[in-house]
Amino acid sequence: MGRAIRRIVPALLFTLVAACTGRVPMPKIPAAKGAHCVRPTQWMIKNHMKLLMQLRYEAVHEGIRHKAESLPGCINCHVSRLPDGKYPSVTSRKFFCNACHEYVGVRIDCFECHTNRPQTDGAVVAETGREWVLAAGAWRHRAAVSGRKADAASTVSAAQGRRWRSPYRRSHER
Amino acid sequence: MSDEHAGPGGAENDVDEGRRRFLGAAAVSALVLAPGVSLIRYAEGDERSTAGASSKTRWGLLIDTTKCKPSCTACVTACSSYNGWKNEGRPTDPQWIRKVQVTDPSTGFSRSVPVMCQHCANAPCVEVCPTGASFRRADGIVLVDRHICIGCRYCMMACPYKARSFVSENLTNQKPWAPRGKGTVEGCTLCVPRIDAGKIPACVEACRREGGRAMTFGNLKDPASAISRALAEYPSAQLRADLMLDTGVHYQGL
Amino acid sequence: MRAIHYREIDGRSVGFWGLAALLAAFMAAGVTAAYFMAHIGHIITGMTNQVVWGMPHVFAVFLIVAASGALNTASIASVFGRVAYRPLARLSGLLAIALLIGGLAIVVLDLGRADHLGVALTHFNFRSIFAWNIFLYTGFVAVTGWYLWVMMERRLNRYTRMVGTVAFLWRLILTTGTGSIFGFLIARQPYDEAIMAPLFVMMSFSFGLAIFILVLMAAFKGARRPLGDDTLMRLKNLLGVFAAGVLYFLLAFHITKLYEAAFRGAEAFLLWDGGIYTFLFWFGAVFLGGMLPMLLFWLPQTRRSRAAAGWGSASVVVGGLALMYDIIIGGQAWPLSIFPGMKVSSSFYDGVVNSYSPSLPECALALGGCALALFIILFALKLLPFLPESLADEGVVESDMGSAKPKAAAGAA
Repeated sequence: MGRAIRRIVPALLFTLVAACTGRVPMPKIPAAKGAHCVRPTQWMIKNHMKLLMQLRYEAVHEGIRHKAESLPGCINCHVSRLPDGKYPSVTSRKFFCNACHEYVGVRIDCFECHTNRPQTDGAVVAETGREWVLAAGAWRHRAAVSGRKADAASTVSAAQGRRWRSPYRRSHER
Repeated sequence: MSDEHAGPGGAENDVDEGRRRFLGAAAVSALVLAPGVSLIRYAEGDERSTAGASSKTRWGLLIDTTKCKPSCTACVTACSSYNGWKNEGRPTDPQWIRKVQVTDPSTGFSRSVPVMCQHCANAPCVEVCPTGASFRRADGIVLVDRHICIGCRYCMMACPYKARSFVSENLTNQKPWAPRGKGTVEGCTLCVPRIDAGKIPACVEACRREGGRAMTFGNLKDPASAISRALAEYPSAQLRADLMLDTGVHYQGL
Repeated sequence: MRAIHYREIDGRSVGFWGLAALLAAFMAAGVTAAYFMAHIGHIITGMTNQVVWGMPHVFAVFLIVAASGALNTASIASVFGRVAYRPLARLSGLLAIALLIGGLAIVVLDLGRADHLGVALTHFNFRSIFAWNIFLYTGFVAVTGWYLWVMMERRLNRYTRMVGTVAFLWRLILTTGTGSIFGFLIARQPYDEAIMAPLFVMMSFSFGLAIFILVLMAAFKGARRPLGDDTLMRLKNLLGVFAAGVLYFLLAFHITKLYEAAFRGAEAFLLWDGGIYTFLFWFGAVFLGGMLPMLLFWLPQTRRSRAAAGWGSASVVVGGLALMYDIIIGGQAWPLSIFPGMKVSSSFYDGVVNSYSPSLPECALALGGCALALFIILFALKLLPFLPESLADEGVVESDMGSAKPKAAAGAA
């Protein structure tokens, strides 16, 4: 028993120390555009998957879509062109999501279907009564220029009471 | 403190020390992970998200085939460019909407009909999907939740209108609002990203702009909408009405 | 009543390891094909948006249907009390499990997103027969495993009848579910018939017993154990009845379809216009699957021949595969009737008979699943006592007319 411990413990220590001393380099996370993220960083590191699953369900099954709080929204801020003008590929370390995911060894499935490129500047996404325009990496809104006249019953009133609450309270709901 | 590392005190302390150093390194690196990000505030101006689907609405399409020219494929081109699919004629290529030339063999009368997912209320594809990936939203649109789709293609066997396609190869450069990927099933979504944002489907808009103005889109549950008034006033039909699927797409002039 | 002794096969001969290696090679080919299908996509197969289920499904459904039928022999022994079939019950249970696993492996590996299998096992839409089938198939493996246990554990032999009845009912529901996969489809004219469920049940009796006979003959030959004529003749006579039953259900099915004007186009396609499908129907399903076996089994010249029993069973298997091909692929080749009575054409292959040619990856996957089933049988025979030491003629003639008494004989199955 003692002999086993005397063999296992140094092996464990070696692994830990090797990890800490940079034999496996810590990931370099590419910088994001925009002023700040939709959630505090610590919260996001821990809970981004729960947030994405919640947003995914809302968008696909309930038709509730948000501008910045969405996978394309994340990509718009977090993915930038490389110095050579190209976008990083999903499997490269220069891609925001993969930089960390490759380090922790968790496979990302999203980009089989979702594009890893941001919408280009000038992209317009319309909402009832107003439009969002992506310019210089930030979304700005302006009054709607065109769009159909909404049928009276077709616009459900006032987002059915959805309002922003503190992210710290929300974190418990996810 | 777990009992697993019970043993000579020296070894236990070494492991703890190693653990603390590792956790410390992880915590420090987490703090420097996202430079320039403030920890407290979050995005403003995000309050106006889309409202969400409601069962007070049932989206429908009315297609007047008398205004549909056989040579016109505006709806197909618009759908294809909005959603990012391409049909180059291979049997494995997807096609969310197509023009079908329908000829009566006994009279010779011929009509060009756009056919897409009919968004049935009693959709067979929704019934047969084992995981529930093929589902009907509250506002009547039949969709595939590709996160849950296992690619069994049973819905393709079940659909009477051949509305669904299976993605057989790796895709790149998908549109950000229309994710699509290999191994899942797809079909007409009535352009849900546009509808959720208050616009009309791409095919309807293209038909209005460049085609024969044959398509009307609107809320079937609102008697005042253009589509409901047209359906109440002129005869219309559903494809394979005998199957009693209660489709959301109606045709005139068949 | 003579005691039956079961013993593992030696499994040390060149033939055994040679067969194992051959099966392993087919399994490796199947897994390789699945790997490429998962990484490159179904574009490398012959399956298209018109014919969405292909060769893998033909073999998978065949194996699953045969699996439930293979349990028949055990059911005849335990549930219906035919003592003569008792020695065969364990092998029957083994075949049922092995064939089902082979079929399931093909289906799962063919999924477009097999990595979402965890989703499939946690999200269920219970209006779908597929969702029910997930429980029916896995439950069948469990129930048959339980059945084998009470048969093989002497102290539990008194429960054999009860568990055997559960297994028998389970497999009838399972095969009904499998037939309903197609029977419930209103969209396609070659399907959409309630009779498809009992048709599949009858097919399961026929294919399952045919495979059972072939495996029995091969196993006894390979293990150099005596297989008496009496057992073999009994089984092959039963198979003749089952093959006739399949023909009967096919007849009822197609006569009904032919009677209705709406379906005459689809029936004409299958029965005389359809090229390969017509050939497979008449030569494969009807002749090889029914007429030839019946002739071989019942003509005075061949009815006592063991070779005829073997060839007849093989013929049933080939005919069964042909019938499955016709049902699954022929049913998709015929175009959908979106505008009944009209002539249609489009850029999405509306209105035309859809073509399909099986590709190498599909066939490799299909045969890999078959190889998996046989591999399981091969090694199970070596590891556990499934096979009776002898099925020589004495001792299995009498008392098959009486009902079984649980304490009939020591060592009886």
